[in-house]
Amino acid sequence: MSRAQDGDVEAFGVLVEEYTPRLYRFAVRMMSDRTEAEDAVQDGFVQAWRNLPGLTNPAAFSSWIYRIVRNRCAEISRQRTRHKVDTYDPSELPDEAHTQRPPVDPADQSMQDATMAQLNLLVSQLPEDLRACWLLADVEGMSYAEIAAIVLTPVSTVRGRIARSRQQLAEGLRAWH
Amino acid sequence: MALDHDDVLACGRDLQTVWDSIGEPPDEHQRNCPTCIDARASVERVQLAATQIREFDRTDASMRPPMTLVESIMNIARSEVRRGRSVVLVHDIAGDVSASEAALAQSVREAVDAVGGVRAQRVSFEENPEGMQVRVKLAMALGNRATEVSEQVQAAVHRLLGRQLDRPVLGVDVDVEDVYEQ
Repeated sequence: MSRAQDGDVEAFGVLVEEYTPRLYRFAVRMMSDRTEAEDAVQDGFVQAWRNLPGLTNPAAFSSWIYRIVRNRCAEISRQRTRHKVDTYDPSELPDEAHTQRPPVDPADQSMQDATMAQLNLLVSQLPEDLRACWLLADVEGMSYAEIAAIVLTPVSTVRGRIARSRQQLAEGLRAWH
Repeated sequence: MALDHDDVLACGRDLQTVWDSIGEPPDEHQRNCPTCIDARASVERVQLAATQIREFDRTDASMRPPMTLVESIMNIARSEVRRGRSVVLVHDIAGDVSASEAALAQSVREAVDAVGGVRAQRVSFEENPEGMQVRVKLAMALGNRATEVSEQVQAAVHRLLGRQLDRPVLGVDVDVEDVYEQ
């Protein structure tokens, strides 16, 4: 981290390699659009590279980069004028994505795809601030304190948002079952 | 799942308590309270949904970033390397020989790393009329002695810059900022 802050581009590369997979997943689920998720992650890291020397607490890099990418997702969503063309609905995935999965029974696969499509829809229907908190808590496994540092709200607010997210998801899942 | 406030159930229990108790048998209240029974079922459905999403993300190729993403980020980072100010290595009437501060710092970091048992972190330079003062912040492997490591690092930096600069290295301040297991 210190080396990256000092301008060592290869040290920065280690951070990029480590954080890109999870930030990309988070961005895809925030935006339901892979191309925009790529843009958000790339823009976020470029912004981080430019501002890294000013990061006063290197140990806070994780929450800092998540915050940058989350904000970039929100900006891109606001600028979005076109329709969603690249959602992660498995029924729309390219064939090569499916061929890399472990072999499963086609009937089971169809059920799994339908389940995931429904879950994706429910998550995407959460308001942006609730969705971010829920994904960070229940999918990424972060603590309330870590999430509060990312979304810059008190822990009590994070707790409330996660409770409301779980409530909305539970109602959606109840209707589905 | 009826909530009076953000996370308080109609029976007065905290939803977080129900969430935390999933995976354990319900307590007496939870066994007999219709609100808690309903809440546990709801929470279990949400928890299962989160598990399914995590599993999908872990195994499905569509949730992996494209190979080109890291590459394009690094291409931009390399094109915007923060070179900092220029440092004159050798003053010459025919034209000074200079290097960027970033490049000089990188060569110092490499010399420090080569000492063994240490990893260079931040390097800075301070010029004054008599020569150059260098500051190296580093992490040291457990089991090493800071004084011995500092002497080896100072010697390595003196050797490197002694070959490159036309003026003395006045001193090399070494700060051990961190330790790590080898």
